[in-house]
Amino acid sequence: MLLLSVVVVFAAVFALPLLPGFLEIVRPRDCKALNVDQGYVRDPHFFGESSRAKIRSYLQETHGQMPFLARFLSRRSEFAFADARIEIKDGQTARNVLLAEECIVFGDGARVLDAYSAGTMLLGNGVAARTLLCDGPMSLGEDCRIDRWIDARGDITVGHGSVLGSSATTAQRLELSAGVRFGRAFGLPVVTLSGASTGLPGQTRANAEVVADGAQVDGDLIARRDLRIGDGCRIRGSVKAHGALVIGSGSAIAGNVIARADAWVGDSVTVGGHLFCEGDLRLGDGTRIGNAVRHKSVYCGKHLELGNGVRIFGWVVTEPLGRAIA
Amino acid sequence: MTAAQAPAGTSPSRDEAAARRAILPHRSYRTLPSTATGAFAALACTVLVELALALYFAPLARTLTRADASVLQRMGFPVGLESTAFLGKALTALTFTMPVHRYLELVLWILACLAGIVVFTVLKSPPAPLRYFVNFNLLIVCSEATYLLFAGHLGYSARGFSVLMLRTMIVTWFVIPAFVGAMVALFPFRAWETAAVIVVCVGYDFLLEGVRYAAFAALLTHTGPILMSDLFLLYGPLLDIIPIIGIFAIALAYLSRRMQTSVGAWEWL
Amino acid sequence: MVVTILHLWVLFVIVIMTLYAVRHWYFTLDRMMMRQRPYFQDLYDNDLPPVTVIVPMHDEEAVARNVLDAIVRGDYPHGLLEIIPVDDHSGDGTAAILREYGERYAFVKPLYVATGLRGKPNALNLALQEASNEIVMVFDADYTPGRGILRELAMAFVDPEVGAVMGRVVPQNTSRNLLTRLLSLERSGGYQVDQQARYNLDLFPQYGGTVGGFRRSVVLSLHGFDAQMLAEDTDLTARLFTNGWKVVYANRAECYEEVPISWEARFRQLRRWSRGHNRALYRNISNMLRAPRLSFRQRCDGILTLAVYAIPPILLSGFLANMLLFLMGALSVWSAVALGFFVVAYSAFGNFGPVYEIGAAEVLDGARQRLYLLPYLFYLFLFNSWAVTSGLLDTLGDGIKRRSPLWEKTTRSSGDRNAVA
Repeated sequence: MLLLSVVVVFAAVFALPLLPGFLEIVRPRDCKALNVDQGYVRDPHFFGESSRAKIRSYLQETHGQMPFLARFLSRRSEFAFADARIEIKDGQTARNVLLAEECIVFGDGARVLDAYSAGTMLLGNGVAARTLLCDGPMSLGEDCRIDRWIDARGDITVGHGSVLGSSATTAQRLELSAGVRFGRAFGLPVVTLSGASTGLPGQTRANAEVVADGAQVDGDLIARRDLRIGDGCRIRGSVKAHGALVIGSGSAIAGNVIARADAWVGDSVTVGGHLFCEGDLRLGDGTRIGNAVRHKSVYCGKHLELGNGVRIFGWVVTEPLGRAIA
Repeated sequence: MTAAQAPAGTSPSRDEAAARRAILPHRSYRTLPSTATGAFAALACTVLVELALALYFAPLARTLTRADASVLQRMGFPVGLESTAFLGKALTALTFTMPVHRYLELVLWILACLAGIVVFTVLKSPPAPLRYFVNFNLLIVCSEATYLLFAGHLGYSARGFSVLMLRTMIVTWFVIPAFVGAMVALFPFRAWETAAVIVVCVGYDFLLEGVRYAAFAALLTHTGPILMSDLFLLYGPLLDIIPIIGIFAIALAYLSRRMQTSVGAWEWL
Repeated sequence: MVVTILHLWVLFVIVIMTLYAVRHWYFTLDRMMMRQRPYFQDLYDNDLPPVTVIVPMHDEEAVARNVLDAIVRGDYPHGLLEIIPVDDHSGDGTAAILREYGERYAFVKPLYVATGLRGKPNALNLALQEASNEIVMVFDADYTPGRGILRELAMAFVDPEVGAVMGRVVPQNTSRNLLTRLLSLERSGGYQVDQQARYNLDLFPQYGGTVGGFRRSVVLSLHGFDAQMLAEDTDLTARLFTNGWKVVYANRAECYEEVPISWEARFRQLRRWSRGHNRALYRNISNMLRAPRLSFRQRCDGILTLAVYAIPPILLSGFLANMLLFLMGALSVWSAVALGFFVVAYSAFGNFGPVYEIGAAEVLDGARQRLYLLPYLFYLFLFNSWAVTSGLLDTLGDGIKRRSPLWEKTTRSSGDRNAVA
């Protein structure tokens, strides 16, 4: 008996830290499978479309009775509705989720949380907002600041120095003025307007592999280190550099471009496929990615700079903020 | 219409980075802000605990052994104390005597173990890992009985085993802070949490080792050397780490709960 | 002399285990706190490549509809999709189900294999002959691919160096019993941390053969899958790397699977993996050492990865050596403690992750109380060790007797699926 008691004490001391686990086995509280969203698909317009669907369902539930309280972007918000037009005057602040059938106009320096217009949306200079959603065209003045995202079905024009939050998407043309900063941008195409020339030449190390000016390559081009492609080259396949990559002006690459480090793309370069860069990326003036039929993407793992007149048919994604060169 | 005036605090944030942090990243994009603070805290705490152990392991071990001896003697177990040394320090080890096994007894042990192995191999009802564990115990006891049958004695006497246990206990104390420190350095614990996990693990191990030393001595005075290798190999140093991982798991669950409710704690890939 | 040899052997085991412990510690650090290498999921494309999806099936009537429905429901344009479910010597109603889907959808082209070799590698080889697209995806029959997964996986091939891509496997029947819960922990560690870290560090991420894809022309140029190989996925990974191709890991491309619910099924699965993996090690180790396009780090990681199913027997042997030393009264206290720690820390041999790696994965996954089960992974140690050791002995037997292993299917739990978090 004494021996047993010694052994029991030993077993009890041993088992003490295992008790929570034992309880979890006996009465499971966290035993469900990880939630894999079976319906998940990659969609640049996800924020906009899911919000439209949510607002539609709220409007159906409330039969248009305004205002009402509902959950929006993880927060309980008051929805306010106007039949046609909402105007937030200069310097005014709105705390509701604004809904309009035709138009929403924000005066200079207005501040708003969320707004949805079934028609157009016009923002003056220095407007601050959390999310903006519209079914028609959207125009942002200078130095506007978006906290989360904007989505439109029509063209979006963004004024100088604005910040577009984590996502700016449109089914049509997205025009970025100089100095605009963004996380992700989708447009057909995304176009940069005026600004200074990118100017700076890309740097590669002395042992970089080099493709001479005007060269023509029929297959894929893979470099184990830095790669410098000269001006006016024609590459029929894809390009991959394990180091830094410089593509000379006027070159055309039919396939994809992958850079494991920084990449500099010269002026008037055409890329038929995707541009995927794990480091800093600078796109020179007049660069064109994808086309109206084949929508492609630009991915940048660090800082992205877009020169003048860049046209990207598809998605531009940066991990930190990207910017159109001021 | 015009919108109502907003109260202070509901206006959009001016922090650009906040825009991205506002959304909890999907698990596949999650990572943590790299910080040297946690690693430094773990390293510093480990070094401090190791230093403290280096200074005080001998008195600590002596205290535990004396406590074990005192408790066992009060319970009527025939144990005593004797001096020994380890890592240049004077220690005291438990002394006890064990009954000697006769040949017939050993043969019976072997047969019983073999029979047990057959039964637990044929049986399908206990879960397989449990059957494997029982069989492994039986196999070790059977091997030891066979060794005793042919060699006549084990490599360790009661005194040798006692000293071995004492030394194992001290080595384990030294290994645990390094092991736990290396583990907690990987996680974003606060400095005091890191220190707490390491100290609790070491403190718990003092208790476990102390109780186990007494339990082994008590068991061997009754059973004789037949269980000696099984006790040491399966319930010796191997056993220490299991509850240590239990403590680590409790700390991790606490950390995980905090991380899930703190969106800003995460970084996107 | 004997004592010295035993001490040296224990020392060897400790060195090996320390190597693995440091490796996985660094993997965990890399996954938790260092810059993660991006995958290609953020590339949006309306000009997707045509894709062939192969689903090998042997007696899969319980799950066949589920996987086929899931693929058909996906967002990949049907015009660019070809599905080849392979009925591999089934004795149940699998063939009838495949026939039904073949009649319903023009892009589902079932393949019926009733003669010749049975097994996944052979089924894949036959399907590759029928496949008409360059990009080939493979799912096991008990998997439930999500709507967008094909697109996510297909994007990997924008990189001209990528030979294969692997997604993340997520157990669906987790809540079934303790075994499934422990396996879920193992899987998290193996994918969320281990695979992602190896991808980050440009090492040796594995093509796992179940939620992934490869370039058809590349696999055919490497003479397809070895029909005798039980771990055709690991073998392919090694051959791709040694021939200059890359394998990439897509952590966001998650797919449900069913893990074994009985100990017997798990034992057979582990034994089969061990047998195949060790054969792959034997077959590829010399190529790995000589491959000119692999860096030193990749070579080391490749060998350590291929050798994981040789570790449990080595660890067991160290334990037995210590037992002999104990019986002889010559045990080293330090090695006994070190070995004890390694035995407990490395109990999850299925995906070969130590507890801190699994803990990190669970924190990333947002686990709470399930983390309390970490010490219970030790419960698997002897079971796993013996299953893996049996597999290694099978490999040795295969080599000595020059016999071909027979493909053993993992028992399904009849489409049993549980609630998700």
